[in-house]
Amino acid sequence: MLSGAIAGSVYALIAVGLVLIHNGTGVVNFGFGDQLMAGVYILVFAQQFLGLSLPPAILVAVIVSGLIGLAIQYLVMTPLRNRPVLIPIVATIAIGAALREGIRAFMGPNPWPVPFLLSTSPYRIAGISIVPSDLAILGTAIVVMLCLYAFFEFTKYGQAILAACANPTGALIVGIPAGATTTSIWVLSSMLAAIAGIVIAPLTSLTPDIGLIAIKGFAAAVLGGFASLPGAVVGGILLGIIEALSGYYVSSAMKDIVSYAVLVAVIILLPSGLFNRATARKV
Amino acid sequence: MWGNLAWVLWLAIAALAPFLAGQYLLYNIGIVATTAAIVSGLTFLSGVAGLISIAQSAFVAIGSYGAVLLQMHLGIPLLIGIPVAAAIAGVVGWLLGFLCLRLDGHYLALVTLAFMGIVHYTIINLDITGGAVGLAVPSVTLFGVTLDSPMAIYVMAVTASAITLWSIDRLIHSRYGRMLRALRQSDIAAVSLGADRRSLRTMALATSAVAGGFAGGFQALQLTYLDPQQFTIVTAVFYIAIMVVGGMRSVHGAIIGAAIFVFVPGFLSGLEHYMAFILFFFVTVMIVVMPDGLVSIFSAGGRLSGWMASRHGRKNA
Repeated sequence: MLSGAIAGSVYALIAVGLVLIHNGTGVVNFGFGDQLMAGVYILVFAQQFLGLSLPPAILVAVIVSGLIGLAIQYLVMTPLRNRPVLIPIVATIAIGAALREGIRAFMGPNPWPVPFLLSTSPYRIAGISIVPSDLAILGTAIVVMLCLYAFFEFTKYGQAILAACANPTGALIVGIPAGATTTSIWVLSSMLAAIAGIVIAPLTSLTPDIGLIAIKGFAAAVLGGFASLPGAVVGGILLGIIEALSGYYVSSAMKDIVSYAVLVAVIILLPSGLFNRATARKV
Repeated sequence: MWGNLAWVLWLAIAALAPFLAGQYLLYNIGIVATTAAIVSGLTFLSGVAGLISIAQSAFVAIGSYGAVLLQMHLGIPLLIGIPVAAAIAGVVGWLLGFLCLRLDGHYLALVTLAFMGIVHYTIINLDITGGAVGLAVPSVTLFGVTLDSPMAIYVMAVTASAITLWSIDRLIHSRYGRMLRALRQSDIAAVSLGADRRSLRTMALATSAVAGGFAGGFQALQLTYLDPQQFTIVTAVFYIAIMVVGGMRSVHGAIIGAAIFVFVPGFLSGLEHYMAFILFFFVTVMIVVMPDGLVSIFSAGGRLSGWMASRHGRKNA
């Protein structure tokens, strides 16, 4: 259960990144997993080749990842903004594949070691064994989530972004620049990708294909209705728990397939997610 | 006009290749044909109906594994088994569409992504499909003659691809294709004129699945071995990339895209380490500078109108 919740908190981070972009631009970012992967590779690169210690390397990874988001927004999404949404979505697929194959070409297909944020040796407190590295994952996820919440609730910029997501035309009328909000969404979401990658990578192995973990983010986002940030968080944790339980009670091979199954089942049975009421589409 | 000329060119290449090309080139031309036919299903789905599927590789898997398994376990000859398996792929595609196409289009991309993953894991975990090891494709026998020479396989594959490509081309220009196009450009207007959005889109997904299954079955004959690694999300993305590079408005785009993806890696063989990266980088650039694909160079006004559209913005392309 606990390990499920820990994995789930990372899925929640991924789902939040996906939902942000979807709400802000209408695009489902199929390259998100590969951006996540690129973020971790930047960390590894900064550590191994630039000789940085872990904290500055993390900072570098998050910043460079944000710059990648900026580049995607300026070089690809802006020129395509008046195209039917099919085209930018296909573009995210292509960007993701290019990132993945680029990393595979330059960093090789073999796994790289990724440092844990804290030690992996468990402490025993009051009969419960606590692993610091697990706590670090959970803690990072919670802190990031709280920061996002504070940003969106209490700052002018966050409120502006939310407004632009909810009603782009209305936001434009009251003077919120549309270009600036979509740009900040891409940057923010790309930084989230790097953070999610850095916390999850030590648990799996870092290969160019680690981006497939984005499927879990998609499943989590769909569970939460693909439109609400809190929904994405709950969806992520729920998915982590479902995954852990099915791995425990059914078989560990099931663990891989369960997020695919959840994704299909939710879209077919509960298309607006677990929490949203069905909304009719406006003309 | 350009379309007819292109058909003449493709048929001439296909017909002359056995006399002029060496064995290696002949094999690759055959692969271009079947790949183009697989992608033409996507052309119909994305270019005409405006939907995204990341599961074309799953339908190819159903077509090829289906045909081979029907032969191995029920003794159904491959040449009958491939159309049967393609029909099964079509039914699966129809069901998938029926279940999720009442929603907005991009949910289909998500569902097909998950479906692709499920099909891949299923193939790996079942005994009947040979698991991760894969399956050898038996050769075709017709009236007691074994057709396993490169020439025979080429003729079968190219004929099947030509049938698929031509059928999709006809469908694009049929009433059904026009209704889908109308639906893509303005679904509210099209629905108000009596188009049934859900059933039309469902049929479009089924059509693309049949094309993928059928051409995929013949591609299995060319490859002679079914490896589960051919049927992943990555290969499904390759099919989308091929469609985008060639152009998603006509089957000629699928043929041009397939030719590029089959032959360019051969020309740049010194760079094969970077091949996939170069290709996908190229695809990304193509989407930005030439969203209608390479085929738009050839259509007279295509370049101009594509340029104008990108300058002035065209919401309903």
